[in-house]
Amino acid sequence: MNIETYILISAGTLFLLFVICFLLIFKKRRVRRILKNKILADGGSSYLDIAKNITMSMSKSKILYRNLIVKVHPDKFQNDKNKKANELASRITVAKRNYDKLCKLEIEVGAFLKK
Amino acid sequence: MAKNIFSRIATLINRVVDILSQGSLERVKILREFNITFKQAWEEKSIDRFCSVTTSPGDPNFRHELSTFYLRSGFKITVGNDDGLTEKDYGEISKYVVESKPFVRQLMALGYDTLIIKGKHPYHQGKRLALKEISSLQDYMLK
Repeated sequence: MNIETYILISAGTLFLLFVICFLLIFKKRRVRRILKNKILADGGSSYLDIAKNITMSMSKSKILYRNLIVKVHPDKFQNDKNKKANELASRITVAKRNYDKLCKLEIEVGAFLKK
Repeated sequence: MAKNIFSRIATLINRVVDILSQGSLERVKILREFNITFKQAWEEKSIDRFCSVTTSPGDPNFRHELSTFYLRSGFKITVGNDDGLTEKDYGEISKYVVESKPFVRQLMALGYDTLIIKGKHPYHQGKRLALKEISSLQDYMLK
């Protein structure tokens, strides 16, 4: 085998390796991009809404949480109402740092107290 | 003054790298929305701490499947007026952010792996949280 053939085979092998590496990296990046898009699409709310919710939660959720938890304290109710109050109280406690969820629960609490 | 200029240059470089590497403005957008909202809330006096958000070096131990290069994998919230803030307060602020699991997943999808809450002063330790411990991408990997 002369030197030119040897160089040609080496260059060909190197090129093949380069193409394989490129394809593997490309495939990995594609999978990552699909996954990323899927998660971002599932996120729902826009970044602005999320940022606003976090800011409102920092400033107002504590007060709203206290107001709501006092209103639905299970000791204030009896029988069926006690059960519902218990359920509401536990949901309020879970959402105590989320202003949006607390606002939705406030409507539910209002409806519950009117009954 | 010099530190301020350095920080501005670092932010600009980070933004350019974000645009070039991601092919989108998602990371720039999320930082901008947060900074605008925090600034508005501070000006309206609805929050008593002035916060700002930047990209910063994360923790290599917190890496996950979608993590970006560790120098740009930290989602850092800096509390401007950190007087009298204790380590417990940093934990409390972080709880408001990690409350929403979909948001944590979004951060992970954008390549962040560490949530950092820090004050301005270097002697404050602050709080570092691994996003992968708060929310998992496993369900998405299996789909």
